[in-house]
Amino acid sequence: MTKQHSAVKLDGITKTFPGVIANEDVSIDFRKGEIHALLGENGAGKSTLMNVLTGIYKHDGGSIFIEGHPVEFANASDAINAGIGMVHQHFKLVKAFTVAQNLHMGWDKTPKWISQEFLKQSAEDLAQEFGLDVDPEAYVDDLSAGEQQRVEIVRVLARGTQVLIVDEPTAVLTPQEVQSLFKVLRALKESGRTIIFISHKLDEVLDISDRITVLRRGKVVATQNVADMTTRKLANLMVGRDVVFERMDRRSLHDTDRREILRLQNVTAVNSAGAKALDSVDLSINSFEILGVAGVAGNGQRELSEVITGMHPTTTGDIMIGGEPTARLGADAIAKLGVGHIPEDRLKSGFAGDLPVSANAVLRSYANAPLSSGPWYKDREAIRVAEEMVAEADVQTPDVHVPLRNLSGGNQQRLIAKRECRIANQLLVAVYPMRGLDVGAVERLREMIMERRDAGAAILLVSEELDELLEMSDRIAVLNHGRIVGVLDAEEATLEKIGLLMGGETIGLHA
Amino acid sequence: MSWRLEKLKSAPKSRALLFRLGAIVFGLLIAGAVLGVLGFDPLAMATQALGYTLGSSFGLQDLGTLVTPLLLTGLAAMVAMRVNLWNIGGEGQFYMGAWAAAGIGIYINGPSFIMLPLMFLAGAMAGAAWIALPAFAKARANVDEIITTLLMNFIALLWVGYFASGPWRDPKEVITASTFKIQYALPEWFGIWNIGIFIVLAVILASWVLFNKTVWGYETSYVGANPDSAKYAGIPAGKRIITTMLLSGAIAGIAGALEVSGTVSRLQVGISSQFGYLGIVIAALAVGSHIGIIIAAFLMGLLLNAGIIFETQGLSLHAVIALTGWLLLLVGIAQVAAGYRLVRIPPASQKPAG
Repeated sequence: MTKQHSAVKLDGITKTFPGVIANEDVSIDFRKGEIHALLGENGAGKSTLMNVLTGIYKHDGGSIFIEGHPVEFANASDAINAGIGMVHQHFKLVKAFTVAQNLHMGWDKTPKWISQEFLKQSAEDLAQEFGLDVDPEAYVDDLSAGEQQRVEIVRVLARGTQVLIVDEPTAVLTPQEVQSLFKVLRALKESGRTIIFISHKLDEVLDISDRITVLRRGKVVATQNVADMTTRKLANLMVGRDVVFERMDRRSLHDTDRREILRLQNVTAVNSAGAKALDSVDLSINSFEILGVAGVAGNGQRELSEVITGMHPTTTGDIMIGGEPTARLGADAIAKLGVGHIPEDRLKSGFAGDLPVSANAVLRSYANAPLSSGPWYKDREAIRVAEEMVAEADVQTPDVHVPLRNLSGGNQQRLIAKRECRIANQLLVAVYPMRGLDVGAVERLREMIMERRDAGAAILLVSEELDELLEMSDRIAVLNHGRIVGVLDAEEATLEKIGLLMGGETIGLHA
Repeated sequence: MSWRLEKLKSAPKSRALLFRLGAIVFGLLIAGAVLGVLGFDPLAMATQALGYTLGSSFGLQDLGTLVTPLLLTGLAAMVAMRVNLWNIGGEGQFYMGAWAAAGIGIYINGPSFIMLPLMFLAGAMAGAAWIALPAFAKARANVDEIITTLLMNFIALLWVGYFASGPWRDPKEVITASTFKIQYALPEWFGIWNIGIFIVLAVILASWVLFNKTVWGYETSYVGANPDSAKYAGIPAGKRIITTMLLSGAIAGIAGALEVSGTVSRLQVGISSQFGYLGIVIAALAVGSHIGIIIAAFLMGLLLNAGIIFETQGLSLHAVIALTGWLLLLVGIAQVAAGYRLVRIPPASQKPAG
């Protein structure tokens, strides 16, 4: 089997929705035994293309060839039977089931009548066959994101997958887990399988892939060998112009009247299940300062951001914003103090998706002039303000009357960032603000946050991208099991130091 | 060759409207065909029904007595939908509104211009009181409002039955259990409709202003559309939900008061003619629009009135109720279908070897 042998060939794939061309004349040859990265901004057509390839959508034009033979997929199971499998960004596992049960669920090779022993044995055999270490009897809920992903990969491979599509696989992993995922992907490649690696993290793509295809506005811009590529070239191909990522200027120049904006003293909070989510947290952020918060997801980031913004009660401790005690205030009172909050799950908690863009854009300003006077709400003013915000934040939408749900993720994120930055005169709490965004959108969002910092606001930035934290923050605090296990000055912080702290190693650093 | 459905990324409003209208036309055509098979002449029946309803003053009068309460019960159901809740109890709130208004009308004496507003106020309060328990249970303990509002209907029905056949009964009425005649009636307008229709239109306008032009309306629509975001937005969702539910009950209660002060002039068991339940159908057809309520209530009134006429030609009134159910089913399907399109799949070509 040579490296040039074609596994899946897309020839001139076109897919349109009424009024939108999602893919236009897309031709890509995915070869056997290669890791082929698919890069593109949000809305570039990656998801649509993968939905065509996995039989979820039917393409309007062009053909798909598998090992040289033309195929038509009437539905998703046709694609699975043809050896195409996908590991989704959000895992399709049943959390209350064991690993073995998940592996055998919805699989036509699972016998009608089965015993627990059979499930366990069969799961062990599968894990061994693919060289992936999973515990068949563990409940998925108890597994880390990395382990869940491994289960998902075994499940997909068990269906006879020769072409494995992995969608944003590293988004939820620690740096160490990313390295072990890459090992697995390389081993699968050696076994002659094809990996289609969807990502917008340029470094990662350069690290893992053999070839890279860049999509822009539904079309293939280039397919290149990784050896000919650099981060700069890739970013340029994706966005269509030069993108400048320099290490941001630390600390604004005019920070003479630096003062403490946010102070948390001995703050403890419990989560909805009653377990301790924050444990004696002490933190302080000054004006003109960005404090980055690192940590594996689920170690208290959400609760930290929510106690500060008045969404989650504290059990003990004091919180001061601009000198005022705020631990007992509600979210609206804290927002009025000049605190913006970009929440982790924007569509669930930050927006009402079924309402128009305009109603969502004015959530922080509807109760003030000029949007209201007395009990009256001026919807015309709201539309005008929303149009202004949409234009300033470069939100792509036909108008401000469409339901917010119709905006792409990147556009939703730009809108919420704009809305929250507008009120963040004292403090901006930004939780995973760049999650799922492409380079162009990240660049714009960083500018918005930096602009707030330069205006004198304090910024609390929670992120899972350590590079981003290192580039933007003045100091980095690391959360582990609800405790701040260390606060590093950006100058002395390295990926290794942060990684160790994230893993739970407390080192004697000044806090 | 085969076909399959594919979800649209976003369905434009005009498409949704077109589908809904198409569903109504299609539904009426099928109903006509069924009547034809049964030996009726659907075309003649439709012309006659429309001609009588819209072309004679008796017809318009009948239409008005049907449309007036339907507008309010439809609005009551829609107001609850604004906070994503179902008020199935419009029927019971209607009865309680009628009961409270009748009680005042029968036993308190005073000038009409004081007594009529008092009856409406009593009706609104009784309707609100009748939904208070479900509303608080929903907001405080998340008790399913569909069940509780529905069950309250049966209590209201028995409550009114008791008063109409017992303490408030007019002994001269022997055919149906009915209370004494209420001496206060709404003035008539051109001898066809009483001015109730204007009261109703004013209530609809007020509701539109409340939900679209006030800060309260913005906050309520926001937490109604996404209760999970209420904490983030700092809007007290529980309070907004309770107020909206009470408002919904009050509107249905006013419909009941209107019925005893305008149309029936007595309290009796059959006073609602399913107006509360039909209101849910109207709200579902209107999909959140105040103008939609007016159109849907008018259509429903036409259908019901046609039903009364068809009854004289040997068609059961239940057939018309069945027809409204059939139309609602089709409109519901059309609403979902507007979000999809049909795609043709070319004949399957060869599968890959191995």
